[in-house]
Amino acid sequence: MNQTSFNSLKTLDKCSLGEECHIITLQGKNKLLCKKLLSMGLVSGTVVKVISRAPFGCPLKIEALGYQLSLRLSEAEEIEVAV
Amino acid sequence: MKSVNATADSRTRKIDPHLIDCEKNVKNLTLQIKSNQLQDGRLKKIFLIGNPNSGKTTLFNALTGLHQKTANYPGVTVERREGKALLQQSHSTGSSNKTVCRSTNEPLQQEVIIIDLPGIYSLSSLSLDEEITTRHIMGFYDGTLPDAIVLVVDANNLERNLYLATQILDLEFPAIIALTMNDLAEKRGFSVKKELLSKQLGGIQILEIQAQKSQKKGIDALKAELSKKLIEPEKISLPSFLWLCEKEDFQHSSGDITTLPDKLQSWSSKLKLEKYIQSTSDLSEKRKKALTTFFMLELLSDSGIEKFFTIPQSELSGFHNEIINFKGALQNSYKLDPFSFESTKRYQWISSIIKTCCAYTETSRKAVTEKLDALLTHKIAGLVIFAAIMFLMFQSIFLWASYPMEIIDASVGAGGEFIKNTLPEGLLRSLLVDGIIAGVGSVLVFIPQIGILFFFLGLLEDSGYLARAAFIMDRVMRKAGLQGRSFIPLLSSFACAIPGIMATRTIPSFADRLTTIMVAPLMICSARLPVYTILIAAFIPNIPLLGLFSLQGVTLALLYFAGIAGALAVAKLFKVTKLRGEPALFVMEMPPFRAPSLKLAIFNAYERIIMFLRSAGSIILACSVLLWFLASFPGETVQTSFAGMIGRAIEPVIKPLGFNWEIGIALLASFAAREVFVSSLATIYNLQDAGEQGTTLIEILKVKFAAGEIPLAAGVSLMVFYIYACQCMSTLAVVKRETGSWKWVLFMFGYMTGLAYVMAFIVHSLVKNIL
Repeated sequence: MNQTSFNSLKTLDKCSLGEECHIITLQGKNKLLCKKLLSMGLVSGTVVKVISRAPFGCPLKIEALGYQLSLRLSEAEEIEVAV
Repeated sequence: MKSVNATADSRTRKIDPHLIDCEKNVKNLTLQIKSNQLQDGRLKKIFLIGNPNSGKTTLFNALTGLHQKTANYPGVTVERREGKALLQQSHSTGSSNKTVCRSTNEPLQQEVIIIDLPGIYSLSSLSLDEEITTRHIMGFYDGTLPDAIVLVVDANNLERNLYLATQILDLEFPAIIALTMNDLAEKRGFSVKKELLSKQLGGIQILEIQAQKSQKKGIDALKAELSKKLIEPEKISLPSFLWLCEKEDFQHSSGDITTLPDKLQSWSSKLKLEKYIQSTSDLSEKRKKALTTFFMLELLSDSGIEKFFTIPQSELSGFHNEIINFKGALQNSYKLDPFSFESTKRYQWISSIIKTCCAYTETSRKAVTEKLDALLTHKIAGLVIFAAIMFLMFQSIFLWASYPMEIIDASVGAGGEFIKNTLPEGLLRSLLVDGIIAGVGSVLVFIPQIGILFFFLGLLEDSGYLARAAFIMDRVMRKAGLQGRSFIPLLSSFACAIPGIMATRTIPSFADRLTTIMVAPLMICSARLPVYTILIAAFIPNIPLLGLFSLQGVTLALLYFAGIAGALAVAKLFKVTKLRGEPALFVMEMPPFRAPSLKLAIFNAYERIIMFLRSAGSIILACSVLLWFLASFPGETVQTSFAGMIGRAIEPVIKPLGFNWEIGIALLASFAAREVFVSSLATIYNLQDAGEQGTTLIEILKVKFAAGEIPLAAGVSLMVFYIYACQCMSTLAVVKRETGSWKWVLFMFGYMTGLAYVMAFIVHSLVKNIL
């Protein structure tokens, strides 16, 4: 793995608004959450982007596979993405 | 190893209480399972299965009309919808707007049961909804497999919807795909080539459906196709995604060249899975294979399916050991991650299918929702609009509903008056007027609030705003251990906890929903206001404060605040104790905005009212008659009745709160409805001081207060008691309806009474000793 791609690895909650990235892995601390996200299509390789934040800063609204869903920051933290 | 057993065990135990009845059913019906062949006289069962928001319920309504009943699954808050439909083979193909001919002589007509299963994203069994749906499909609910399945697939979210659909198609059920919201998808520039898609999915029939009342399309065609399906289920041979796994270069490090599907088969026979899946006994070898492969896949990917099986204690550790071995083999020989490989591979496969049979052209359509969303969830504008909508909704259930409620009150009063004038005085008259008519009145009086709230909720949900409201409020509500979707039910509870508790059904997580139900009655509802008006006027002097406020007003505000604070504290407490271990997620789909349907909102309100009358109404009526009995027997007056005896008997218990036995009786009587406190206390005091008939309760209390008979401490203690005490049988009846179990009713009554007692005791001692 080269240096640049390593640098661009982060968790989804750290992404800036509108930044397109693809999922590397679901970290799996919260099995229930990961299982649900997997079945909703957030599998490795899926392109996601954070669209907006709620007025109080959390949760996030993200887009994947052409639909939108809300995720709390702690939940977005479980998704590892690459830009 | 031990830890694996322990987690599996604890999970089973956690969910089991809710599903005890399912378990029982499975056991009782094992005999019936033996004959999977349809017996004469049994109606065939058709399941509607799909993602949440896929248009499943609209299709269900279109198929069944008003021939449906809604209840809860035993012991849980998940709703069960079942209805009957008349299928008829028609010769029209494709879409048709013709109404079905309902001639009873038609030989090809067939009545079937349609079951609308909870909307899910996959067949894993981690959430209660998933578990119920999967149990139904696999024959673990009542021992029978579905006769046909309608897979409801939303064209707007084809990829995600096909995930569940192909999982079920793999199981070789007779199935049809109902493609919904295709018109919306086309407007967004997304077009599905149905023939191509059908071919890719092994030849399954795909029918475009428009289930909205105004522009029905495809419903008759669907009925006709279903009717054909039930006669001779055709074989679908779907190239399961597992074969896709085969094409990839598997590294069989051990030299094992068994294909993955064959491997899964051999593992499942090693585990003797077949004996746990009893509903398979009469199935073809092919179907059996499909089912055991499915169970094997689910077992390997930790999706909680093992709780379906009753594995003898002695075999349990062996079973789990084997699964761990298989997982290792999957990882080492096949280079697949057991936890995620099914989802990943299946989505890859679906994505490749979609590429070949769908076309997408960019349109400006999507931008509308985006722009609307940017405004409605904006930091300032979004909050202002949110506050305005919530204010309108609250105003409508608090104020607008009061007019029809007064009319209902007046009519019930007039009805009672009429009977009083026609019947001679006696037991029958008393029963009719004070028991039954008063009871009917206390049921009917809730209709306006329930109707208005659910009309609004219907509009909000249909338009897509409900999800935004939850999105906005989540952070605030989470601080209290609740979630965004708890906000509207709790707000509504300030008007009345009954519609508030009923509104919790928009909360998907069982734990969050239960917590919201449990704290909803702590919000100061409008029925407490008559009590507070009297108590505050009698005990709190009207002193201006800071020129702007009055001590009386501030007292009322403090009572509201104490209610909210109590609710937040209790919710937090539940979250960390009783309901911990079921981590609630806030993974919530945000549907695109659309114009809400007025008809749907009215139907929604109607349905909720009927449901309330049917299930809670009878309990409330029965309680009302019981309370009448307690207050009228034996003897003439309330003091000499059972209620009076109980009131006196509990005096030692309520004395530490500063209450006398007169208040005790009024407390008991007000269990029918809080505002009854005012009239019953007035009656009791009026009867005592026979000379001063007609004085109002405020005057009586003021006199008693001045004479020191009821000190300030007792008055304040009474106010506090009314915040926390569960003095409302209607609330308890609705909790029974919504949770489906008396356990939670008792729990609510117990904790609220305890809390009320402790808080009133503390406040009483404080005021008594300090002031």
